[in-house]
Amino acid sequence: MRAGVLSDKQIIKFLNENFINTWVTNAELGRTPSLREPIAKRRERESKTFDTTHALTQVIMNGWTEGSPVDCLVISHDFELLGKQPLNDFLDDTWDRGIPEAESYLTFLIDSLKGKFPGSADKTQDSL
Amino acid sequence: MKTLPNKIVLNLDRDTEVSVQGFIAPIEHTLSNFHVEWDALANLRVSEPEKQYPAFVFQSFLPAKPVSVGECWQIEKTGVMKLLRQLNPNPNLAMHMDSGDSLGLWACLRAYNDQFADIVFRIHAEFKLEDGWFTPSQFTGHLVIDRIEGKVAFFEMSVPEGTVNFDVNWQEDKDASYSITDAGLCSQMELRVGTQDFGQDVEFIAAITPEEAKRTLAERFYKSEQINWVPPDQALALASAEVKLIHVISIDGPLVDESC
Repeated sequence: MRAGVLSDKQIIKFLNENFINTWVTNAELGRTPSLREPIAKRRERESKTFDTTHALTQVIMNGWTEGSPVDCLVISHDFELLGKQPLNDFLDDTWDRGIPEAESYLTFLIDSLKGKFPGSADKTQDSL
Repeated sequence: MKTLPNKIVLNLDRDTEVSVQGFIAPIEHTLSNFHVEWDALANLRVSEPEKQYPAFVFQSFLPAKPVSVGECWQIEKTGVMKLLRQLNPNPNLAMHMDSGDSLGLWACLRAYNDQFADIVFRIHAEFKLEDGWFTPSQFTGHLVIDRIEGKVAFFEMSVPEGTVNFDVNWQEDKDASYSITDAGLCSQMELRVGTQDFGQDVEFIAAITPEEAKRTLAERFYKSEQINWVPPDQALALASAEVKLIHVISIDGPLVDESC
C-alpha cells in the first residue's frame, strides 16, 4: 500500500488537501496479543501512555475487519465512521474490476467525503 | 579544496583504527512465535562482538563533495557491507522483497561546528539466514567525526525500537517454493563506537533537529512521506481546528519502514 496508492501523486495531493492523515499499528491498539507485553514495557520505560478507551481509538477498533492486516478508515471529528476499506478486499476488488488502484482509492475517499459511507455495511467488528 | 561558506568538507584520517562493538539481543517477541519455532531466528546472535576497522571503512559514509546542513548523499555500499558482516555474515543490500521503494543507503549532514560534524543516516539492509531472511525495519544512526583530528568521535548504527522492528521469511519446507512470514521485536541490534552520552554538551554553529533529519532521510525512500502524517493523538484536535475528516490507516506493521 505504501509503495502503491499512498505514493500516487494525485492521492497524496488529495489527502493533504482534504484530510488529517494518521496511521497507527494494530499492535499499539492491542490487536496483536503476542506484542502486548513488550509494548506495555516500552510505554512504561518511556513514560508514555496510549489511551485505547479514547473515542477516536474506539472508532478505529470498531472499523476493523476480521483478519485484515490493514484497514483504511475515514472518521469525522465527532467520531463517526464515514468509510472503511480493508486492504485485501480493496486489492481483490480493483484486480477483479480491472481498475487502477489509485483511481479506486480516490473514489473511496471522495465517497467518504460525500457521506456515502463506503464499506460500512458489513463485517465490522472488534477483533479482540 | 575551496568551498562555499555554508558547505564543509568531511574527511577522515585513513590510517587510524576504529574499534566497533556489536550487539544482537535474543529475540523474545514475534507475532506468530517464529522466534521459538525457527532455530535460525532463535539463535540469531552477533557474529563478532568487537572488531577493529581501518578508518577508511567509515569514509563510505562521507560525501565526495562539500555539503551543507540538511543536504543528503548516497552512502557507498562497500564500507557498510563490511560493518554489517560484524552483525551477521550474510548481509544483503539488494532487498529480496523490494516494494519499489525499499532500496537505499542515505546520509544527511545534521550539524557541525569547527570541531565536530554530525552525520545521520538510514540504510535498508537484511540478512540471509540458513533457511530464510531476516529484514530489519531499517538501520539508522549517526556518525560524528572530529574534523580537527580526522577521527571517528562516535558511531551508532542500530535497528530502532518500535512496535515491530523486523520482518522474517522462513522457508520451513525446503522443497516448497514459498516461505512463511512473521514479524517481531528485537530489543537491540546495533554497532557502536564510543559512549551513548557523547555530544550532549556540544554546541553546533549550524544544525537541523534530529526529527528534521529523520524526515528528510525517510523522504529519500518513500513517496508516501509526502503525505502530511500526524500522530494519532494530534489528529482529532487538528481535524476540529481545520474542519477536516480524519483518514486513518490501521496497519499490522509500521508504514514507514521495511518491517511491514
